Amino acid sequence: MENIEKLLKEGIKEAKKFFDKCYFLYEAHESIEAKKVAKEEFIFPFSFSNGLYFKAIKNGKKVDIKIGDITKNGVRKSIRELKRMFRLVPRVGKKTRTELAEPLDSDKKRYVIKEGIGFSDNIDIDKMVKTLFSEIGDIARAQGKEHIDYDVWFFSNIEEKLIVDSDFIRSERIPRTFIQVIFKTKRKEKRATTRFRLGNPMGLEMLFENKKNFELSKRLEEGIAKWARYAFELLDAKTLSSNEIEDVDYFILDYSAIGVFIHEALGHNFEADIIKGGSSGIIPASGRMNTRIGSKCVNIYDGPIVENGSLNMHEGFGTEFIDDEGTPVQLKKLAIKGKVNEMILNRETAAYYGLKPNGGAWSEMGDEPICRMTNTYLYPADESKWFMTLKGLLKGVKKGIILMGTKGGQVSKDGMTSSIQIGYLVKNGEIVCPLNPGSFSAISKYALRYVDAFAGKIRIDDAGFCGKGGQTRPVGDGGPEWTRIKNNKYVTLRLQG
Amino acid sequence: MAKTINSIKRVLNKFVDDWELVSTSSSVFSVSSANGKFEIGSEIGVSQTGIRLIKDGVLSYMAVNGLDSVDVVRHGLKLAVKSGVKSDIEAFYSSNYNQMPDVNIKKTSSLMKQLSNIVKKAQKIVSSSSKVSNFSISINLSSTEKTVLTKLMDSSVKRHIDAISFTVYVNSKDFDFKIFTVEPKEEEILYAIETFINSLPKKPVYHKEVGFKGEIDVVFHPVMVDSLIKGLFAYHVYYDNVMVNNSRLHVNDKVAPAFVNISDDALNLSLLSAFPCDDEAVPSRKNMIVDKGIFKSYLSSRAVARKANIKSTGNGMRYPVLSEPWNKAPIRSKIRALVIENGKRELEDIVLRIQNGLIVNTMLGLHTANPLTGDFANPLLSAYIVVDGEIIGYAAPGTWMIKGNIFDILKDTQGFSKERLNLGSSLLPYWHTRIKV
Repeated sequence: MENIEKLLKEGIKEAKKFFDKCYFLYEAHESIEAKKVAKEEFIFPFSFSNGLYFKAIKNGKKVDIKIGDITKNGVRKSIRELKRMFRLVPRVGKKTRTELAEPLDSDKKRYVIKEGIGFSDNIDIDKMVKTLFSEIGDIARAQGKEHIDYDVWFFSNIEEKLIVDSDFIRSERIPRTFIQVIFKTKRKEKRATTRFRLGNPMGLEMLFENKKNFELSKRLEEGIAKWARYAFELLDAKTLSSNEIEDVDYFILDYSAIGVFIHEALGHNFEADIIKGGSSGIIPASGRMNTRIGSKCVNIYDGPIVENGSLNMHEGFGTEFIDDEGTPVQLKKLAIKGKVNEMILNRETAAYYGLKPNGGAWSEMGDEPICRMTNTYLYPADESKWFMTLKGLLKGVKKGIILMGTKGGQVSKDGMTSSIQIGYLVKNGEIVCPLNPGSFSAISKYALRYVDAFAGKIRIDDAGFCGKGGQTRPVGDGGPEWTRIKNNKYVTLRLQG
Repeated sequence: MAKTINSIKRVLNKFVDDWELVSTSSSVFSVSSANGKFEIGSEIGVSQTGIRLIKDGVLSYMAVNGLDSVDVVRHGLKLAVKSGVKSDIEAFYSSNYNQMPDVNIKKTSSLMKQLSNIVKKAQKIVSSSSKVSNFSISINLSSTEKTVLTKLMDSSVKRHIDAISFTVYVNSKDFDFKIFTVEPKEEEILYAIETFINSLPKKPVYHKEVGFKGEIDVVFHPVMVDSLIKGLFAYHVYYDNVMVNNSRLHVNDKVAPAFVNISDDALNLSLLSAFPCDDEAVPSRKNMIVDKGIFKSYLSSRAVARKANIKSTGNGMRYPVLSEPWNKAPIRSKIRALVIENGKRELEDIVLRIQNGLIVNTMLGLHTANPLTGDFANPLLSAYIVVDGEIIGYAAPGTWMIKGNIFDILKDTQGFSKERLNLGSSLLPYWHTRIKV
């Protein structure tokens, strides 16, 4: 890293002779990875990837480059290329100028999260992978009578990044571990599948209690058992027609379903580059705030999770200390009591809107840092509507549908959709039967206006990958364990089958 | 490049019994305008390498960036040889290959200037239309070189491809694009943009307005055809899934009307994904998947074929489980170059004959559909409403949803358009079928 820093400092010195402002972003990941797909197993005991990005600005004109050859010659050649490209950019007007806002101050130059069990612990990778795969199988099979197949993907990264700007240098080193298990069950012609995910800025301790016999962590065991059980339950699931769904009084979403719903329905609409481009369904290109997007009991946050009044930096797949432009990540209060309050900014959009950057610039391995979410979650604004348990929330529900789990979603300017892994029909406060997977879609700006109550603690450990602009980024989504939405004309549920 | 490959070969030969290497190196020059904001960006020499190793009968994977760091490879190998799974193959593959011609576009300063000018002019056309509220236009000039090499091969299999892709995206939902393998003519692109913008329907149509119920005619855009076939149908074509009884297909089953022909043809030179071999170095061939409506062939990688005691179809590719980079992806069976035979009628003619129907350009969240069952239920993002052979407007956002099953809609195929779109790794027509709204 020291060599890279030296190389990039020299690059900045060279670039500053021509450009007004510039920065390098260097990212490097070292990982252990293993996969089980159908009957095949794949082990990647070592993978290394790195990327270098350089952005330069002069007279309001921007040029940028992704550099493959991370050597003195490669950097020099890239700066020369940028100067050549700069001449092709036409003169810019007041509205089309690019500036970079100064990142927030920080006393720290380097941010670190230390892993509990890591690469340097001389672990037996073969033993670890074999134990993991067989334990998952044992737990899954114990949940039902029929045959169950499962696919697994897990990786554990050590992620380093270094931002060398014309005005400052900051770096970060964090672990990040992820696991996904897909369960597949079948009974005659009926087939069902569910997916469980867990991801956090942790080392292998997220998966294992210890590094000797690789006993699975409690959290992992519970998740596997739960989602394998749902895969069996889906074999008895029913579907409902659109007319039957119209009669429903309430939808009750678990933390992962509401999390992706928020990420897709609202989160992207808070990203300042989308807002500036006129593609946000809730904030106009002018950046005007205060639009109502949810009921008064809804707050929407992006950033690390708030626990007992402080930020927990060890939870949330998208958690980091500094963004990919070196700005310390702030808890972004996107909506307060249902009203738009804040955007997700990078340094470019912060300068455009005359605001301070808030740590929302993220890149994938040498790509341009763009405005992205980290962990986006619903946080109840009204404690009086926050029940302890699901039972409390279901009380008084004549006909409802519980929607659990997700396999992701997608957003457009006006609408969004989020997939649902399993549903349960509720009648008179009691769960009646499981329902087939489906799609829950909504008109973005009305999506949360009918949220009326919550239950359980806040969870953001359902990990995902957001693919904005072709760049994949780890994200966490979530909210209270349960969120209740009154059925309304702006949401649609369609069940498969 | 040859020098570094030789250094890597030496290191690999020293540490392992056998090895296989797939590498890509790419450079991109891009010009874009988003709502009038003009930007130029570039990528130089970005490379990725995926290596498979066999040592003492154990197979292991390793991923590194380029081939420029012998030290990283050496360090990785020390770890990689310690772990793995029992290998189904004794050795990696080698054969005689018919090299394919490179595609070269001369990357001169005047070409870059010309591409910048095209974006500037396109920006004027798009921004002056009353039908456009926001837009982005981009042109990418990309150079990619792919290399496949195994220990037993005398020389690597390589192909260099330059391509220019042009994309216009308006109103956050409608799009048009073209791929060129020769210098594009400015007038051709600008004419295509004008035609596209003029063809955009003006009026939003709500589902309740037209009252479509039950099954209706639907014409899927080639981009949707690509997603539906590769995302849902192909799952059942891969032998990996046959081996765990998760495929619904049986050879010689009738899966579509007799005019439906679907193939995987990595020898088709009009596609950018054409390459002399797959990622396991097995020579490419044309595989008929559906011939005259009859399902004819599963696709398999060499590893899976070995297990099943069948022949590889040349479809062993680095296939990500989800979103990991290709060099961190395992080798699995995968469609390489999807080709669907075109029909006799132009799209316009197909639409003229539709009484009540939709042209679906994009659905939201199709990646969340269920490949195991083939079921999907998704809202429409960009779609046009057809009544009595005329496009009467576009689907009002957030108000339309369709649901179906890939096997049902394939059986209900009414026809394919005469025109086909080249998506780089697919050559596909518009697909006319029936579906529930």
